Amino acid sequence: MSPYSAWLEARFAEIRPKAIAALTRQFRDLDLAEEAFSASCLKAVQVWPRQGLPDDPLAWLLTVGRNAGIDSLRRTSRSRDAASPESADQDTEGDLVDRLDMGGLRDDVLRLLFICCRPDLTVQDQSALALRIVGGLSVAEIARAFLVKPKAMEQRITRAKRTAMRADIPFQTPDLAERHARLKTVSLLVYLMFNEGWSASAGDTLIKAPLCEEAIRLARLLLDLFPSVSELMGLLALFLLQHSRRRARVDPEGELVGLDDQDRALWDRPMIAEARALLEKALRHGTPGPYQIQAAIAAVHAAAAHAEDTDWREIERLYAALYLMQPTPVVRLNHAAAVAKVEGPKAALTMLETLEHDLAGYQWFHTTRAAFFTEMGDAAAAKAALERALALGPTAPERRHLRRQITDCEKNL
Amino acid sequence: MLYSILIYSADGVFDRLPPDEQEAVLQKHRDLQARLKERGAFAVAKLMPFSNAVTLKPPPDQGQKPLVVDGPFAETKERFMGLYIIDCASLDEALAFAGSLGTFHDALEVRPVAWAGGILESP
Repeated sequence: MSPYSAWLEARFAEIRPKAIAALTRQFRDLDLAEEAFSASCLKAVQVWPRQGLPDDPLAWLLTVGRNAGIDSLRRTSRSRDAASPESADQDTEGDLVDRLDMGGLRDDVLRLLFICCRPDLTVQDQSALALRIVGGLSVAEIARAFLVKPKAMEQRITRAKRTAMRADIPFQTPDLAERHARLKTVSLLVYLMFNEGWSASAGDTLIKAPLCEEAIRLARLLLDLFPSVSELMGLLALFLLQHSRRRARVDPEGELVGLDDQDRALWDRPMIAEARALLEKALRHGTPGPYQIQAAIAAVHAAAAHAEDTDWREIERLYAALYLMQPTPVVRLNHAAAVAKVEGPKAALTMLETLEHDLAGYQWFHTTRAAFFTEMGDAAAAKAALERALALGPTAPERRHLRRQITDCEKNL
Repeated sequence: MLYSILIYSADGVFDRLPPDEQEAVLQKHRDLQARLKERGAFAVAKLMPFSNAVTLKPPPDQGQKPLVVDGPFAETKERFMGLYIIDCASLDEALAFAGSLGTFHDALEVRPVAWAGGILESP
């Protein structure tokens, strides 16, 4: 690929979510929108190198894409109603460009992401669909990101797309409450997508970095469209802080390295700096939320030059605040881990007693308890807890990590 | 005279380039900076993505505080990404330095500096 076409591809990819969203609103047909956008990119590849970049590449691609879509409708004489009531044929170019206000576009993109969030789809399917439709990744790329076979991914995406298209979500501009609700749902999808990449739930790999990177891109896109939403700043800051540790989190043998043992020189400092800037900006709004608090916790870790410098008292306070907003067993578990650092493992174990019922199937619950027991010198109880974690079917590297810890316990029995 | 080279680019595009293309762009900057270092003092800055920006806008009424708005000042297609400040003998020389970065990724605005001061380096 020539440098120029590599750059064109990058530019198209960046424009794609907005273009697909606008064309979908125009044609009320996702497949036609995708087809029209491909046609406009093809045209751009022919025209731009000769005539230079248009002043507004998005508007250019939309105008050409709209015409391509109309041609396609005429050729196949698909139902003419598809283009009504906002009938594309009657628009002049000027009208279209006028309608390209950010307000409309952001709701279009939000809607596109929102239809991927069908509750009857699994989180993986929702993520795969969002990457296909909004991210514009090929099926092969998505299959690679999820570490599954392309054939299987193709079937999953086709099925998911059919399900999502059945959703009857109106094209009208949503009211404030509806927009807020959609943003919340979509943010959660992006959050879960990042987590799926960050702690791969199955397979031999610990981190699916491409998934993390795509989640970061989607968070950037959302923040670009909704620049004053402090929780989106928090979400992006959280991703950047976690992703900044990617090189330190897995050792050369592919083993998981805990936060305390990571080589902090490997942390991505520019990424941390950007996250801190975003978080500072978010906190000025005085509207804290779960993503901002989680980002603040990650920022406390990032600020410590060595693990032993970590301000656990601050982290403990932040988890207490998070628990008020999100009173879930997992938050309580993390809070307990922070309490252990501040007040000792005994106090933390007491906090965990009430969680047994909810978290018995959660690996991290047992490994956390094991760490507390080890700290108290109770190797037998630690070993029992690790064995329960092992029984929950962890990924291969996690399994090796657990086995090593069990061997350590046996030495201290 | 001091000249500035102001770099404008579409946000997010650089990150999507293949690694060897990214490296080629960075190498041009490293080469230019090495040449400038030999000649003496210069300044260079790369800005964070625009979503980190906060903009102060003039207050609607006199006596009020400026409005603090999240995001960049202008909704433009190409955004201000960074700059060089270089002491050049002529506009031609400034254009030659800008040309050495010459990429189709960026628009480079060459603009004389009326006044410059201060000295800073990022940690």
